[in-house]
Amino acid sequence: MIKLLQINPNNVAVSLFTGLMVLVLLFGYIIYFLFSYRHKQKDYKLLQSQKEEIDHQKNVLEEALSELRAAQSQLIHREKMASLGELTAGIAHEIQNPLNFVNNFSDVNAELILELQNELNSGNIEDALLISNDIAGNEQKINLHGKRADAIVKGMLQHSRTSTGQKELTDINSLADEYLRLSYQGFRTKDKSFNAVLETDFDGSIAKINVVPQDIARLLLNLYNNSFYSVTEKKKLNGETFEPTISVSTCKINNNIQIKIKDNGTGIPQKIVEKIFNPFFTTKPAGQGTGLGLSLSYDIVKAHRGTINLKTEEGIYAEFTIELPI
Amino acid sequence: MVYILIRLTHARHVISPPHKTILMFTDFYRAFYYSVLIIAAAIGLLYIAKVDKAFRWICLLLILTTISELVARYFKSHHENNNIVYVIFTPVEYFVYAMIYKMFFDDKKWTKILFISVAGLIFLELINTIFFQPISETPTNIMDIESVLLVILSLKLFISIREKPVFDNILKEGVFWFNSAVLFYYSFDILFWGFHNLVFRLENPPAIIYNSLLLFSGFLYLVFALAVLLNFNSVTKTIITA
Repeated sequence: MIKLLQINPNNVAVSLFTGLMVLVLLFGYIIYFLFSYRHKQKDYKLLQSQKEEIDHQKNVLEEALSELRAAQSQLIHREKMASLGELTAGIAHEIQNPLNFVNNFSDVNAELILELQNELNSGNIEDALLISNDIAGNEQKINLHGKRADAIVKGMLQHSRTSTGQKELTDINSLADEYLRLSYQGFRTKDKSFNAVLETDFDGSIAKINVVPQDIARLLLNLYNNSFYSVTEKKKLNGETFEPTISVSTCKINNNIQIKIKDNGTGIPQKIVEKIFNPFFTTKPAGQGTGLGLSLSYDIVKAHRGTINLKTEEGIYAEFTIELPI
Repeated sequence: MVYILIRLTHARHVISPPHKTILMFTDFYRAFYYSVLIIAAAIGLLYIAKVDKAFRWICLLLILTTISELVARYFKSHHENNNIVYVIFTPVEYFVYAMIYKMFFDDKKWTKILFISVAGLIFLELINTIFFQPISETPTNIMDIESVLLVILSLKLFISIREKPVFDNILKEGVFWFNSAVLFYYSFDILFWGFHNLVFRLENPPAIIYNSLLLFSGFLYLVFALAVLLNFNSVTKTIITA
């Protein structure tokens, strides 16, 4: 050190002093870093544990949500299957008609073919030609009723299938008519004595509109079933004097198609009007309704950007008005 | 800062320190420095494939530094002037440091800053070699700038570590020791080169200056090797726990 100072005392002393100061500063910084790190680490650990807890809760909630979704889809499926069950009787009845036609006309054709063979054997060509024309006519009828049965089966399959959500050009009038009859036949199968007046007023000028046919069919079926259920209940109360009537009408208003379904059943009490579209809300006895019918109907209408409204008077009538944009 | 300014003002007058011999183990300081370097490089070679990515770059730095020092010794013995080695190695060394810090920061913004700083340093080295310190001189200007940059990076890493204190015991983490070593060594490095200039204006520069640099450098690489070993331990622990 003495030798160094002899070389250039001022420069060396200043340099050493600066070096020492830097050393002190650096050590000071490291100590400050270590202390502040420990302090921050406590906060960080607390934050981490809170984050883990939140993550855990989030996972639990997500699991619960997915379970709920699975349960919901199961319920929806069950609701669909229930309505399909109710439809089965109506469908059976609807299929029976064309099948009767098919059977009858094929029996007639069998006889006509025998006659045709006789005429041909006897060389009576003119009569043979007439008979063959009859056979051809019957054949057309068989084909027509076969297609009708086919359409009913396809409709039933469509109803049970999960909706693809794809919109198709659909004839609302024929859909409304078809499902009205299916629902009616379903109720008649349960109660043979049940009869109702079905009034329909379909606007023929309505062109096909773009909707998801399975969903609209489900919507209509839910409303029809409710109407038939309502008039059945009223009939139980009022007896033979009461004449159950269901009116279905369609019309075009501005850029919307309006479907009205009216029944002269028990109506809906004002105190529950606001709840009828809530999921799981039902006035039916336990085991008879899932409480999802109207809730699903509401969702279907909303998915089509439409509206659904109810007018009712307890004990007098209930009228649902659906408006769907064209 | 005063010393940096003095250093930059007198950069052109820097000459290489006197060497009576070119052998590696002539005295305690050199023996210590080269022994540490060789041990550190050996550790680097052994553990380069077994540690985290950032520490692989530290291993590479240890290996490259050892190679450059050996080449420098060779040049000194055969051509008297070995400054070309430092002219080439300084930006290479800074690039490796930049890669290490890139791994530690793991941040897009800082990756960009680091690559810009590498490009900037190379550009300044070219300017320095052409206009201020020819290839026959030690590129002390660039060494100064590199030291300043590394001190800044080291401080930034400390801030980042504090912002996200994930380590249970920071003293057992290689990153802490590596960064502390960089902060200490390069802070003194700035001073050293400033001091170096002042001393070299004298007729008989004291050997303690160079010896202390050798000691500091030796400790730096020793701590780097320790950091690699600490990281290897924590990686092994993680694997066992997993």
